[in-house]
This record gives sequence, C-alpha cells and structure tokens, in this order.
Amino acid sequence: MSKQKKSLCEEHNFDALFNTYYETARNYIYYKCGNLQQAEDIVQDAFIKVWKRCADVIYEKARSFLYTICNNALRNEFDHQKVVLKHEATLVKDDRDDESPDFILEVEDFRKKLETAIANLSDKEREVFLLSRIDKKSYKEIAEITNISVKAVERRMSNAFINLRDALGDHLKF
Amino acid sequence: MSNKNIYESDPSFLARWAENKLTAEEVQAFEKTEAYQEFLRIDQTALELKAPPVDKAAALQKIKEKIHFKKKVISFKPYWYAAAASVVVLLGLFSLFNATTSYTIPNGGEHLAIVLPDGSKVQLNAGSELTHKRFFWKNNRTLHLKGEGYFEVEKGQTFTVETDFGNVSVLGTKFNVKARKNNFDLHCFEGAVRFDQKDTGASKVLYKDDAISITNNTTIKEEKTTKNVPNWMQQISIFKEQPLQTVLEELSVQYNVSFETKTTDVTRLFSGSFVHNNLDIALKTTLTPMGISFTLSKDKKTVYLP
Repeated sequence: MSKQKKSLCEEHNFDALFNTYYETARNYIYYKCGNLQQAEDIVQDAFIKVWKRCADVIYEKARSFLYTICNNALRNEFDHQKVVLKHEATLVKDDRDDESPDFILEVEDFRKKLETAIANLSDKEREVFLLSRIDKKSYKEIAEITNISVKAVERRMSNAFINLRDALGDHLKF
Repeated sequence: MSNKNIYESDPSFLARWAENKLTAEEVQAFEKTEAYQEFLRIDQTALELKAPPVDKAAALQKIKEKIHFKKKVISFKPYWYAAAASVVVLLGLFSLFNATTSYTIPNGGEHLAIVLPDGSKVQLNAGSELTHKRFFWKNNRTLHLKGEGYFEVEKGQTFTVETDFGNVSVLGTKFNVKARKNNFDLHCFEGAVRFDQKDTGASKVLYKDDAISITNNTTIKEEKTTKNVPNWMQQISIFKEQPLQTVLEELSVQYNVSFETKTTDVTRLFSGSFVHNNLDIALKTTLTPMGISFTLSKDKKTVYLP
C-alpha cells in the first residue's frame, strides 16, 4: 500500500490493464452471451468507460470495476439468443498420426457434442466451467470475476460436470 | 455403494477433483466409480477447447481511436494552457478593477464640471486633479483630490474624498474641498461632512455653513461661511487673514504664473480677494494694499517681487 498508486490516466498503466484483462473479460462475456462480436464490443466499451473515469478508479480496483461494467452492459442488452459457442478447432496433437481415422472422427464428434452440452448449461455454470477449463483461472479468480464466493464457484463447477455427464449420457460410453 | 454418489453429495468434490485438490484416498475411491471415466473424458476434452482467437493489439487500437480526443483533455499540457490563460484573465481583471479615470486641469486652466457615475457633481478649480476608479466605483465612492473641488453628492453609500491632508467623507451633501500644496480648506454648504485628518487622526464633523482650514501646520481652524457656493465658482478668490504665501499660491494656480521673491515677507496675513479673469487687476488688488510693488515679465509668466 505504501507504493505510489498507479494512475490509470497514464497511458502505460492503462495499456497494462488492457493487456492483462482484455482477453479474460472478453472470454467471460463471450461465455455468457455466446456472441463474439457482442462480447468484444461490450468489453471494449467497458475499457473506454474505465478510461473516462481513470481519475476515480484505483488501479487495483479497476479489474472488478471492469467486470461489473461488462456484466451490467450485457444485462442491459436485449435477451441474448440461445448460446452457440464456437471453439477453435482442437490443436492437432503430435501423437495423432498414430491414431486411426475412426478414432480421430470419434474424438471430433465427441468434442462437438460436448460443445453443444456446454452451450446448453445454465449461464452461471457455463461461465464458471469455461473460465476454469479454457482460461485456466483458479476458483478464487473466477469468484472475483463473477462476483460470487469461492464456495459458490465450486458448487457451480461440480454441477456443471454432473449436468454435462447427464447431457452426454450414452455418448460417454466407449 | 456409498462412494458412488460422493461427487453428488459433496458439492465441491468434482470442482476439487478438476483442480487436483482431492486427497489420494478420495482420488483412489473416485477412480473406482463408473462415472470416473466419463468425467475424465469430459474434463480432458474440455481442457482442449479454445476460446476464439483474440487480437489484443487491434482491440486496443480500436479503443484508442475512440478515446483519442479524451486523451488530450486528460494529458497534462492543457493544464498549462489553462494556468496561463487564468493568469492572463486575472491580470486583465486586476488591471480592469484598478483602472482609474482621472481629470486634470493645469494651472491657469478652465474650471471643469464633472458628473460622476453615481450622478454626483464635481466642479474642479484650476490646477486640480481628481482621480477615481473606473469600474464599480459606485460600490465604493472614493475620489482622490489634489487641488480644489466643489462637490454635490448624491445620496447613497459613503462618499469619500481623499486628500494629502486627510479624508472627507459624506453621505449626501454639498461641500468644497481645497487641498493645495500648503493649505487645506473645507466648507460645508449643505448636509454634513466628516473630516479625518491624516497626520493627527483627528476627526471633525461639519454641518451646513461650517468651514475649517489647515495652513502649514496641522492645527484645524474652525470658521463659518454664509455663502451658498464657493467663491472660486464665481470667478473670485477670497481670503481672510491668510498668509501671503497662500494668496500667491492661489494666484499661481489661477493664472499659471510664478512668483520670485527676494525680501518680501510671505507670512504676513492678507484679507481680501482677487478675480480670476484679469491678472493685472488680481495682482493690484492683492499686492498694492499690502504695500508691495511688483513687476510682471513680458510673457506674463513671472511676477518679480522685492
């Protein structure tokens, strides 16, 4: 605390904030609304709001301020359409050459089904599940982003697993 | 069978498993369950999912384009412009508030009638200078006078005439102030005025027909006047037991002449008058009764006395 406070009005501090949190914030909003363009617009607008209030916002508090703005912005937009998440194609694994084409197809097929199942999760479960699995955020970090307790994050995470298993059902059997 | 549902009965179980936070025993027990393989497959597949690619640089660029104009407001430079502009404005206001209007009548000049911003009237005698603030004068009616002036003051805030001898303040009245080099005369013709002497701090209130004079020293001499307007406004100067020096000074003021004396005693007292429109007559009426002969230079600027 004794350190001199970083002012967000200084460009390099603002840039640092942007580089640290833009991607997570965008993904978070994307997981909620399923519209990449909308997510990017919301988060970029949120950063502009942070900039406009740079004199009022302490650097350390900017992160939660940012997520709050994003959440409110999304809530204010019209009911978003059914979430359809598109994930980048899984990276080709080095050992893939050894696997049969059938197996590759199977894996690809399962991945699509999982994506659908994730999209059908409730917003609350989906955002926690994906922030953890894709963005590799700890439950503590997710709790900060979503503004809920760590216990609640863990509960949502567990429920997400259970609901995904239920949704995938027979597809899980080899 | 109780193990089968552990991930359902413990709301944090699967969450902790996903983060590798289960104890070895918990993991062992969990791995034996039917569901384990299924959860593992979900988890492993999910871990390979990727969010759509992000172009941070482009996004930041986009933001900066939108906030570019804001940046200028926030950067430090404008504060300097604002500070500089403020200084200019302040200096301007300062000089505005301190601007003065001044009326100067040289020796030998005409009398001048002035109407002040509040409607008060001033008649200025020759060889006089009157100064007052140009703006907002009505809020603080203060004048500075060197020389002689007759004032008809409109009712209102305190009206003050500052002289080198002291201040004369009134509320609404008619009075004459004479503050020459060596003598001071104050005649009140209507209402009441207050005089605060500069050096002694003495103060005196004059009512209608009261007059005071100060000559050379600081003693205030009280008199009475019966006139309605000062003599000088009727083109005449009247003296009553005044030192000759005072009379000569007034002559210098009215005719713009200078006196050169050698042995003449200028402290002798004089009672009498002189007119303002004829130098010869004025000199004769003042000097001849005193038994003083005089010579006037050709350009009528210098009077030689014995």
